[in-house]
Amino acid sequence: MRRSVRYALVLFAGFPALLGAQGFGIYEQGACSMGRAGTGVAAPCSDGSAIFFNPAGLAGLKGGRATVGATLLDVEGGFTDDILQQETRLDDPFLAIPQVYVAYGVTPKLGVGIGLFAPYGLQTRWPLSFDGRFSGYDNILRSVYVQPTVSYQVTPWLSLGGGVDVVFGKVELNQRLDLATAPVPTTLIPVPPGSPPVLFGQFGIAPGTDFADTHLEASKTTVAGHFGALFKVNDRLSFGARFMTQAKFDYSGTASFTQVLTGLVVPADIAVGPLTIPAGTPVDLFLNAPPLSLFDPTTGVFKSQPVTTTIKNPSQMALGVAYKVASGWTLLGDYQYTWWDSFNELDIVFPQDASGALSRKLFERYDGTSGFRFAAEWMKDAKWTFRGGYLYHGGAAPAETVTPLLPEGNRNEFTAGATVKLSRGLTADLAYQFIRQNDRRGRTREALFNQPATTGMNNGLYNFHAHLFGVSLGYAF
Amino acid sequence: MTHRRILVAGGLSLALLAAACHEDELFTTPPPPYAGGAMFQRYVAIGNSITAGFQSGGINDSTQKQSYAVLVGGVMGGDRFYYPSLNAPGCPPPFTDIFTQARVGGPLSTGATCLLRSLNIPPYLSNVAVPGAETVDMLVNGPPPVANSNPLTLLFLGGRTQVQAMKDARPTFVSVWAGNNDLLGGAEAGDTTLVTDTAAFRINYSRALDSIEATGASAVLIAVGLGHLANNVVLPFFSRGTTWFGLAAGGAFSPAPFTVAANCAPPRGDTVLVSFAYGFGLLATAQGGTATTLDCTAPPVIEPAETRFFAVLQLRYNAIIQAQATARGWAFTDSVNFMLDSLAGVANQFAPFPNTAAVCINSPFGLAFSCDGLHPSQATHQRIARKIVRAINAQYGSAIPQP
Repeated sequence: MRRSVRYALVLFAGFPALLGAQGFGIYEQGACSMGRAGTGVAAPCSDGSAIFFNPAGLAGLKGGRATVGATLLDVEGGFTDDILQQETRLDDPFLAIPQVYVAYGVTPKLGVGIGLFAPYGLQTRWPLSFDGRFSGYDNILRSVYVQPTVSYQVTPWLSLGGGVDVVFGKVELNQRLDLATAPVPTTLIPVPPGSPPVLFGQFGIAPGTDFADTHLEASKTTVAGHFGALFKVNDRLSFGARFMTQAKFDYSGTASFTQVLTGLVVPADIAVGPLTIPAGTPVDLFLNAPPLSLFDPTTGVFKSQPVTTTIKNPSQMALGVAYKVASGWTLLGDYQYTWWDSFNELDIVFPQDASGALSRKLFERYDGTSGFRFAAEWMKDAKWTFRGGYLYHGGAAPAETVTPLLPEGNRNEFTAGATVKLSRGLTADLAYQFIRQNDRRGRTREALFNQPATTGMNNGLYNFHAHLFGVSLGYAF
Repeated sequence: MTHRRILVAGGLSLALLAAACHEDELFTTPPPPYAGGAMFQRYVAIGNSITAGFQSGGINDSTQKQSYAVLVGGVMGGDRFYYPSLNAPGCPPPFTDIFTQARVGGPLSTGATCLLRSLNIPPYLSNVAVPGAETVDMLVNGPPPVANSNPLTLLFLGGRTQVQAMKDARPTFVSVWAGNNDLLGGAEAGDTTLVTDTAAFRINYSRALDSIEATGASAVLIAVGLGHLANNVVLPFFSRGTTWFGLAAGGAFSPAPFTVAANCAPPRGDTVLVSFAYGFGLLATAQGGTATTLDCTAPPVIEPAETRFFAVLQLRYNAIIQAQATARGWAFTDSVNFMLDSLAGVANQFAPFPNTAAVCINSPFGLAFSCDGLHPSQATHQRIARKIVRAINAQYGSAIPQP
């Protein structure tokens, strides 16, 4: 019992790496739909996942459905740098994305339900030897949506539905700081107004000299909405549409810093502003002793302190068509648009940092993206249903923002799945999805001094593919 | 059957769609093909002030890019050759007139002026040479007596040694021109006890080469010197006692109360070497009104026995280097010394005595040397680069073009 509770916690704590949708979007919200390449806005699966795929799809339910599922991920990817031609592999663990749906047909026209799913999130974990550790080596963006939903059949051909999403967000960023690109405090070496500060790299510190480990963590709960419509032209043809509103998180959390020893020693007397640092002085001591005392827990620049940022989960819309050909065959097609252009800048603000050295502005400048999904489903008999599909979508990140945080790009994905009726009320769904992301040039570092990045900073090639396994168990009551 | 066809057609369409996905952005301009081959993909230069690009008593980006190492790296055609670019006017700024001590940057520039590295920090260093480095400095950092680190050791290497910085660059080919300062320090002071003895030289040198060998890189080892002392070729930084004696006899230093002792006269004075720093230091004192005499037996002066000592030491150092190269199957070249031996016989290349009327652009120490009489001029760096490339091509059968 204890083991199963722990397993359940792992399931619900586990969150995706780079998944099968644009940006940090996740579309694998049910094993049945996953086998269909995520199609179904015009004909949602009967497992209750209509709460996500089209809230209008709950209308007309007979009885109740409860489904618990998970998508298991085996992610493979890496980065090959231009200079050393060395590949660093992603270090992502085997992850699980949970889904829970409970739906009930109150009347032949009124359906209600509640769903728990995670349509946005990411986890990218890189080894500490990776140059991208200075952008982030273990990054987690987590958004759990709990969506009570109501659906009503307005006319025999039109159903409408909607829900309120209570969204629990959490962001975690772990990164190293590179002494070579760290500014020398202007209290030591003043610079004219408007001029960039002197960097330790100008004193010869080599790039890739870790001197601090940063952990930023924040959480926030917010609210969004989700609406859908389902048009049944006739018994064979139906159209669907859904729209999920943006969820904006004004995160507030804590940043903590730990000194990482460089082991470097000053080889000769050197003047740093008014100071002369004698030969033999350990660089680590210089950083953590007066007058710098960077890591002093009460006065240091790198003391634990509040941090704020704002992240928006973008609005998304899907339009779909479903056509029952005959003999149990259904063809499905969906178009999805996600307003990723709302993910433009990421301001990480340290309100207590008077030096201003810590605050960062990351220019993301994502583009809105389209996804195209196609699938076919064959209901062989009352026990077995088989399905397969293909989807393609573009990358949200522009060429200058392909980073260790989210090295995404255009993707082709292939899916297959099956539903088997285990007993009168019990149904199991299995699905497999292969994600092949086109190799894409990107960078490992952020621009200095909070400047916008350019494609000129791209210094290697990201590659990515993944195997996803969906499993769910449904119970009709 | 119809449904099956639809499915087949649909499947084919999907496959075509997948196949049609372009990766246009991958087709960026490829790097130019390199001329020398995989062995020369990543070249790293170890050395001292000559390799670093020190000229005219100073160093900045302008002199750094004239180094033979940069020229050799340029023609190898491998990865970009990165040097630790110093902001202008330099650290210290080079002389514009060594006799007035004027330096690049104007009146505010002095020998203590030291600008930092450029804001553009390269991902690795190809030129890891540090001015003032002796063989021990390839392996160890620190002030004397442990090593000979100076502020440029920090600015260039950031607390690493040359060997550590070389390893960080993951070289495929390394040049080593080390040992000049092991000899020169004693020569400048006229003190044979200040040189690195051959046993220590052998240990330091071979340990550095072991580290290079461990990276899998090949190498070219360059003989110590800028001309063979044994062939009576002397850097223009040193003037012969005879020259001083003749100039004094001709009244060249009058009206300053400056005299040159008879022990500087030929034939003894022919093999006595007076350093620029010592000789012109005495002359400056005399020009200040204090009667001064250059004595060719004074300790800073290199007397005949000492000249022979340094000449033999240079040959011994080079024998050690050549043996190391042979044992490791690497290239060794003494051709730079032979080239300078030849150049010494060409008019205006080696000034026997600094032309005090000339500012630096007029080469007071001769065309082969920069304005300190110790470090090669830009033209000589190019000649050195050619000699080194020839030596590499001869050993490895490569076809690196001449710089």
